[in-house]
Amino acid sequence: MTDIDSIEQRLRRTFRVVAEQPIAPVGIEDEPWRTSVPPLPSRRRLRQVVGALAIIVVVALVGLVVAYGPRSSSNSPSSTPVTQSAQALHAVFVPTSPQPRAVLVQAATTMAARLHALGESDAAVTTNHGAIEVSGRTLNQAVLRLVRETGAFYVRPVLCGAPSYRPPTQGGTPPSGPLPMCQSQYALTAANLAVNTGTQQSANNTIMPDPSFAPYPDTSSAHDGPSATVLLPGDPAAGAQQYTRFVLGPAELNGSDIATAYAQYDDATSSWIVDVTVKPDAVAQWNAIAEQSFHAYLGFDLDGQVLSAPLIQPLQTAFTSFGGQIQISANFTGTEAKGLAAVLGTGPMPVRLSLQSLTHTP
Amino acid sequence: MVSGPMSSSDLSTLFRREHAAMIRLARLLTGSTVVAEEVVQEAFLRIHQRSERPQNPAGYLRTTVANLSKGHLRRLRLERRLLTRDRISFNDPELDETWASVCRLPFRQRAVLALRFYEDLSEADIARVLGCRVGTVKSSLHRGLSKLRDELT
Repeated sequence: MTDIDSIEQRLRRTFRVVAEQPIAPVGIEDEPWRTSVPPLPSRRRLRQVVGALAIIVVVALVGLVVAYGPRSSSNSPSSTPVTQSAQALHAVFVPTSPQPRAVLVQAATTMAARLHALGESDAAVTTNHGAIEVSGRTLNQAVLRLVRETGAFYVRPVLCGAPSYRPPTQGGTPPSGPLPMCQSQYALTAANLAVNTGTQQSANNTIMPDPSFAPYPDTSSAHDGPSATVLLPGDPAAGAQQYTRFVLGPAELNGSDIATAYAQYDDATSSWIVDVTVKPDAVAQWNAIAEQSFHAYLGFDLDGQVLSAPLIQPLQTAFTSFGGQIQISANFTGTEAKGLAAVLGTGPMPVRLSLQSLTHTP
Repeated sequence: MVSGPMSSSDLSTLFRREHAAMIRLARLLTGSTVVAEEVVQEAFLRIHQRSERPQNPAGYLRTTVANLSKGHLRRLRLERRLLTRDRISFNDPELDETWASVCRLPFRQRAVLALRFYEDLSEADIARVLGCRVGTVKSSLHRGLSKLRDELT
């Protein structure tokens, strides 16, 4: 009986921790009925659609015969894509606090650049009475989220791992004040990691997350500034990482130091990566940071989540220059890698934006 | 009384109120945040597409999430990639071990345990959500718990 009781306790605790991992906040672009094109067809609808398709095929065949038949046709405009929906989505974004026009124009420019990088060449961006309006026929949820993403990117040294957030038990008081220092046995210093260049591995499996961070919640985006020491979760979309959460030091490189970013498929590892080139005047700085973190972890923080935390040059016995290149691999899908490249390559948004309305227009 | 479909603002209210809770439940049922998000999106879409407003939208939503989670698990067996991509894990051996055992349980047993010990629903309510008899809930609860006890102690 006591066995069952203790199992019950364990279950309750496990369920609570699993269920209550942070959930990304949602906006109206996440309301599925707004961006979804026609409802999933029921069986009857499906039959109607198949019927309609058959008619379209017949009409198309007739059309082909007319166009390419006995009479030689003049150049017919046959390039209209059939798959495009007739309706355009029209999204209105507003800054979360009133902004001067110049800032808004800059935000709209960044947005247009992101749409271009995402291949949404058809979309149009305009500013209108303190709002930014975007319309296009192929916009979707993912694109709408990417174009307004703050895109605050920082490269930070990883100080130690941290366990999942556990709120203090009833009656306990949550800790206040700044984050504590990592305890020395958990610190992810090159000395503690003791990278073996032969196996390319560190002793990271044996360095546990520092338990003293459990009662500290994630650092909020308002406090995720470049000079702060922060406690951030791994990006859930980036797959399993070394730790659930990371304690990271002040930023040593940020988004405005990036010149270009491209998504690429890496045949060697069969995975998508994002290749980042640092601006010429930041190359020396990037090299200095990487050298400081040689045989230790650097964390890539995008909007308060750790995309990945690579070990710096585990193969090598001595540091060699990165020459202004950064490669981010985080178990991406192609779409995710392209999205990240679009955000990194166009720089951060000068202002936080929220989606105010989303409508279909003919 | 003829009610018609739910209005967009009604749906928005329901979405804001229930979205996080549904993600949490779907996470427990599918073991994956990515899949949970998909399931919850799909569930809201289903409500949107109904020609009639459900009598109890929140209840309808919960049942839909449970059904879709079950369907997704079936599909997941084919898509192993997702499983390796988004496994929920903690650097806490006790939690990891318990969660791994829960994930190995058949869907119904896991769902009953989650609804009972996370959502604190009564056996009758669990039966309603899962569309089965109370007796089935009782036996699933018992079997799930004993299996976990065997594995974990």
